[in-house]
Amino acid sequence: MHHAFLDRYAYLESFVHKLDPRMKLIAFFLLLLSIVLHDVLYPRLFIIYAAMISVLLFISRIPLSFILRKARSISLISVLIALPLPFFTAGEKLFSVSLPGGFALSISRPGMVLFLNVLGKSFLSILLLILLFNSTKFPDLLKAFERLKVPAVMVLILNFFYRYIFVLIDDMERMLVAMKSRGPRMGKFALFKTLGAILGNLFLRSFERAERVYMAMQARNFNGKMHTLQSFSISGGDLAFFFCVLLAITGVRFI
Amino acid sequence: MHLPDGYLSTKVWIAGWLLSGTGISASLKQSKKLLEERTVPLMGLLSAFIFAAQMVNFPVGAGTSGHLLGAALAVILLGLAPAIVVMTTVLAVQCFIFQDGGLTAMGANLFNMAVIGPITAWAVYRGLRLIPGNGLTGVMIATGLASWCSVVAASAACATELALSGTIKFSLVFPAMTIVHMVIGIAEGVITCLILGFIWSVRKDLIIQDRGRIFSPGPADRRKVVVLFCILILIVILLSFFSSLLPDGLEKVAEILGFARGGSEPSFQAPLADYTWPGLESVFLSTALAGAAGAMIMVIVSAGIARLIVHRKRIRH
Repeated sequence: MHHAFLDRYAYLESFVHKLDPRMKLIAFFLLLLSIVLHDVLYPRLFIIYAAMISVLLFISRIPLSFILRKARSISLISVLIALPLPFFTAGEKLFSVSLPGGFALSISRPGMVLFLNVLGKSFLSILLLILLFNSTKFPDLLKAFERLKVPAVMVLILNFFYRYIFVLIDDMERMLVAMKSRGPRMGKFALFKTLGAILGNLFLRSFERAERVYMAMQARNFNGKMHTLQSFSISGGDLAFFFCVLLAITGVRFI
Repeated sequence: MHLPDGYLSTKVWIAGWLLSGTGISASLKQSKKLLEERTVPLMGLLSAFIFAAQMVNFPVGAGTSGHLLGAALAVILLGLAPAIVVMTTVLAVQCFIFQDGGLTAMGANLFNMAVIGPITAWAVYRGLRLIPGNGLTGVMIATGLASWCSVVAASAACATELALSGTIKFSLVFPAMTIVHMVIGIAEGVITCLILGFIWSVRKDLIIQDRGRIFSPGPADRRKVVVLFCILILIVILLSFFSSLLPDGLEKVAEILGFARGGSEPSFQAPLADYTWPGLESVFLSTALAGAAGAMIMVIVSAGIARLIVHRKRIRH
């Protein structure tokens, strides 16, 4: 199995991709905070942030169709959560319709403001996260976390996750193919029972594999630290990028 | 249930990070004590397992499909602390890979799905396992209820956070979230039971064995079980009766606790004034609230009573 669904575009080469992961993480997080911490995200602020993020997205050369597809599927959830807001927030009415059967539907001004506010913020943050996590290789991201003092055990567990998720998905897909080839038309009850058995089997396999991995690690004298060859270094470009972000988020406060 | 950035107020998401951070670091410590050096490979592989298992779709019908969420499964197979670590890893990866859930909101998401979910599942499972003995039926009942309660509890926590942030009114978001997740919880219970049923037939020892849990006491006293369940059902019925009498009381509590954004605004003193849905306020909301509250109370009471029974048995011996 290929790494296709995990970090497909993290291996492109661009300015954003080449940024030092620690710097990138901090800078993006500051930008995210700056967006979230606005009490009201006025349209002009939205436009400024959107412009900044789209410039970054453009430089990163991650295909636009991919970004939009991803943003669409995630935004759907946030729209669903936000949808009742304009109707159920009290305040000055913008618009009202009475429906048959004694129902009345109205849209209030504060509700609309809240709706756009929440939706704008979440949309910008989603774009930012898509850019961050699709321009950083997963191992680099974990290494950056480690340097930024995320508990070492947590980072190691995530490392193991990354190593074995492909093996497990391969295992699972083989079992699913076997199931389909032996029983192409199963009743719902049989299908659910079989799927349950496949997942139970997958659990046992991963459980036993963990034991074997542990023994192999002990045999190789694992002392709780992963050693990798690459090391991070902060270049002038990283610093310039970081200061640009800082400047931008302070500048936005004065608009 | 993965909240994106921008939905929670600053206070709430910071509180989410603090709460979940404390819970997770405590369970990291606990699982290191329990599993020693085994922690890293075991937790890594099992979180990969949960992640992979979430990808398998169970076609429920009518074009929809459900999938495993896994908190209860992890708790039953691994114990509480390791399950919290596993769910944390899964949620972190979901954020990194799929951008499911935001970065600032991640603390709250972790709190709902990696702390509250497993703790509820653990309390229910552990409580109920003490009652119906060591047979498959007992395990299945406990598993199903534990999975259901964990999903509903997580959604209730999520709804409360949204309401505390002042994004959506408590009386609106709480029933909506919990009702949806009461249905999702049924699927979760069925799937978890199916998986556990298989493991039961192959490696029973993994379910029965003591991983920082207690054994269930010997053969159960059937009469006691029947009485216990009667009491629970009575409590649920009473609760729904009272809460349908006092829908305004709940609103009042919400107001006092400060769920309302800017409680002094005139808008909140006339709740539900802007729209009229006949009958909704008194029947629909209250039944939903009662259901959720009933489930929670049931969990606590059943765990407590189970404790008492065990305690008395020990004294007698």
